[in-house]
Amino acid sequence: MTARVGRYFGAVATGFLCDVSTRGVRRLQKLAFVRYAVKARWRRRRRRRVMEEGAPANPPIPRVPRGVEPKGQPLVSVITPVYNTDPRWLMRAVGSVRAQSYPHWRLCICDDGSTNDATRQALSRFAGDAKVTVVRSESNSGISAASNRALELADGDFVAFLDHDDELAPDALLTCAWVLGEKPDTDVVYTDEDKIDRWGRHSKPFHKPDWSPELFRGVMYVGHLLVVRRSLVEDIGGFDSAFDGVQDYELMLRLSERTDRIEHVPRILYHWRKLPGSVASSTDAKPGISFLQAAAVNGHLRRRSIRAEAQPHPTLPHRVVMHPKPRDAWPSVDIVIPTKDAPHHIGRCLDSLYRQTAYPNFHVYVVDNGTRDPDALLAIRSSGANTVPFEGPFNFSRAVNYGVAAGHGEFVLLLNNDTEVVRPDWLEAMVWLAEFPDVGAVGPLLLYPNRTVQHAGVVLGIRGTADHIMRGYPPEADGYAGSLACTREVSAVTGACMLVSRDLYHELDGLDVHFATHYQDVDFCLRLRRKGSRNLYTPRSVLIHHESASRGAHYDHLDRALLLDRWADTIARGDPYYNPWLSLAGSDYRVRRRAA
Amino acid sequence: MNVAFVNYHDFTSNSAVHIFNLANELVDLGCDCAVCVPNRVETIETLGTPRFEPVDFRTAARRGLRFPDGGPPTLIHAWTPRETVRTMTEELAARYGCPFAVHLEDNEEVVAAQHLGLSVKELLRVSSRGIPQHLSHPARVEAFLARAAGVTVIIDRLLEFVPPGTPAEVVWPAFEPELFRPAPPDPALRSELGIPDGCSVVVYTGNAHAANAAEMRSLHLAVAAVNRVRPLKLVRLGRDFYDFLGSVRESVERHVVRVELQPRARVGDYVGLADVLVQPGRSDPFNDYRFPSKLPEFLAMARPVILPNANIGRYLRNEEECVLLDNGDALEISAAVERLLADPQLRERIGRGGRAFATANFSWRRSAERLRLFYEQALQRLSPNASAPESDLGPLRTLGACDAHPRMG
Repeated sequence: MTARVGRYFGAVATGFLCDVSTRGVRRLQKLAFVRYAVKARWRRRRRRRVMEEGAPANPPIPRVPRGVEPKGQPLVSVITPVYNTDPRWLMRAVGSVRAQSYPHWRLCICDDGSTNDATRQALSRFAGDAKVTVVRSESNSGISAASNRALELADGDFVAFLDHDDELAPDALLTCAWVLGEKPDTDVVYTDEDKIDRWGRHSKPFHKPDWSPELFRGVMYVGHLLVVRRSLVEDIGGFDSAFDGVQDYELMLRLSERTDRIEHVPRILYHWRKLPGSVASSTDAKPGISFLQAAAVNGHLRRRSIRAEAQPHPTLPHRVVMHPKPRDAWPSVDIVIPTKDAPHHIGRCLDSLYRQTAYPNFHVYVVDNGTRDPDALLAIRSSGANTVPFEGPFNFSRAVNYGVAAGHGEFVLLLNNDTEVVRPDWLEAMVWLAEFPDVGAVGPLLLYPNRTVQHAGVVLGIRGTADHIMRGYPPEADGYAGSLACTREVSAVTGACMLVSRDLYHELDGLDVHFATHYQDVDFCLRLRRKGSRNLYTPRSVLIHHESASRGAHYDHLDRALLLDRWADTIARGDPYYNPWLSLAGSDYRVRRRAA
Repeated sequence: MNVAFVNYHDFTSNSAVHIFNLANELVDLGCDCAVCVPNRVETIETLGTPRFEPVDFRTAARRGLRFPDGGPPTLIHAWTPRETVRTMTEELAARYGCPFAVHLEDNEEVVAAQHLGLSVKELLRVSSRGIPQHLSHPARVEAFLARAAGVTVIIDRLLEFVPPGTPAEVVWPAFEPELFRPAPPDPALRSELGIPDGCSVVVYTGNAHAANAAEMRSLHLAVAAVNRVRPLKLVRLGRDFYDFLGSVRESVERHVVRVELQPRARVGDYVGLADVLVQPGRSDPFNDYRFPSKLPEFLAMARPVILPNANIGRYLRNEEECVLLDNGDALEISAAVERLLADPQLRERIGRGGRAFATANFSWRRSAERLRLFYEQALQRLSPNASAPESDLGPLRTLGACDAHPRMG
């Protein structure tokens, strides 16, 4: 009320001032200019700050422009299988579709032989609604079969999947249709989601990364809302009843074998009902799902001819771990370690490397930048590693490039001298991923000496440039929906331990020697991404990193400036694998306070 | 024909160099010229001896413009539509009842928006009354251009701003052959500037302001980056109207040799110190619509020039007449500089190609001839006796001053 009165008097006052005289109008115009001038000064300062210090903290979140209708206005058929659903939730679910701001939809319901009279009565109420079609099965055939029957009712180019007790946000279909209109080649759209309880309270927002096929093999992160090109669903034969319980995960795996035109909308447009006994309320609610998930992934791996086997994660529910299958021959790997003195580091690194590594085909190249310490020299010479003398002032990038040039292996692994191998299979776990033709760099899980996370991937935008995510986490944790426990796509991995094919390394002319100390790894990974490669982090490979023990606390501001000069726009657009709703103020996936 | 030029700044600006040379050439072609600048008319001395009358705004307003024939101006040529120029031009045009033409050399919307820290959309919403005199407001520019007898542009992309039906001509800047010519670096000047033996040199002549701050930062960072590989100095002529280095100033400035404002006759000597010349930048709404006037001078020096794949870069052949930048970031510049410094034959070949392009395409005389023809055609269109169909009044040019075409693709 007060605000309305205020607005009224404000309008009256403005009108009065405008009416007083032309001079009044001019003054108002000048005032407006002053307002802009003040804003402009602030913007200039911000622009300078961004230029010097990095990207603004929060990347933009895409919005549907007001009053703009999606191009093409595709018809979306919403697929909803129903079985003995509590009418309260069923009506909410259907109501959320009817309340859509986008008018071009059909609701296709399959009643999968409900025995609950209340459910059947509720469904009968939709008989007069031309946009809602209900078909009934005489017996309960399972969620996949029911979904497939509902799919038969579908019309239009796209289908969306809505569970019988969940809700769509009012702009859900409008937003997806807008994305489909802007990128007409898109085959699949998925959105962020949250949980909603019986009282309508929202909780546990899930802010997903952009399409990450490797992460998806480990965790069903795509979830809801899922909108798919109808012809594609029909081509792959719809849902598979053998995977009831993870049928949507299995469907998405098969879809991903047909298309990579998959778009993510970073907005919560789906509300997953959290009821006792549902997976939404507890990950323990449906035991056995992890085995079904692993079976679905194994089918996917077979179809893709990937020589690996999926197994349920040993400790975490609903997570799948992939292991490369044993083989007779592995590609050769050159491990390049720049070093100078530091006998305890290089000694420990080489000792652990040769003692722990089970990988059968690797050579070590120690790029020696003038070591004089006798213990360090002894450690290098007695290890069996190849020594590559490197003269001149130390430059990490140049030293690494020099070492890489000395070898001939199919893959090169950049390794800091202050690392320590702790698992025998660490190199296999990286190599089999790097063998994928579309993979660029692969980085492992690195731990501090106190066994907390030092590196689990790099996120763009933290500290204005880029930084490691989940520092200090216990390594056995799941992370954010599997972000620590599962192999996944990342924008960059640390150069402290990075595997990449020699061909790619040469194609990109190696690390940029103009970065003396920092960010050459981020720059290299971003260049890999620019040429279309995916960079992966894998927790299946674990090393200890005594970070910067040899480098000290020196921070090179010129390196930072060079990174920002090249990548400021990319960084400002946001990390595709770190949802724009997540805060860049920390490295722990907390949700940011306010959207841009 | 009496032509009066109106410039937005005194004779120390790059635009004044263009006007100076064009006016002198027009005089040689039989026109009489006057050049009005806001103040400091004595700065004409930095450019040389004019064959026209330089005059400041106040004097022009008080006693009018003087031409040798004692007559009024036939045409006034507003050099940019910026407020200070627009106001003076309209005042003179009203006083003498003569038409005016407007010269465009920048995307004025972007320049104004950058200076004010606004987006172009916001700039359009700002009242034109509050616009500073050294900038222009889109609404006023539109009206100003609509009243013009013709529009000249420095690069073809600016033709987008010309109102339909208005005569237009592309007039490229050029270089003074006696100042910018292939010559070995002057060892005495190197020594005077404290450039050690074995140190390579990049020269940049130009000011830093809000609109080019990012690319100036890229150039300076590139020089600092190259110094991690080999010694390099940036000899810098021009003034800074914007702090574009900030926290990295310390690590960058030690590689920069600052040179105070030099007479025009000396600029070529400094440019001649260069092993490589760099015009930083990237294709964007600022760079696509400009023609850095130092580029003809750089190319004429027979040194390899690194420049963005925008504006005049679209006319030059990469790796033959110049080295084109895709992204224009510091690391790309530094890689290009190092590649050239490491290969004397490549430098020589590209420098020779650039020089050939410059001599074939950049000439103040040819630009002045084109300008005179443009004036005649624009005036003929305004003449009440003009009965010839529009097509007979001469082409409304849409090509460069040299009739060169941009590279395809």
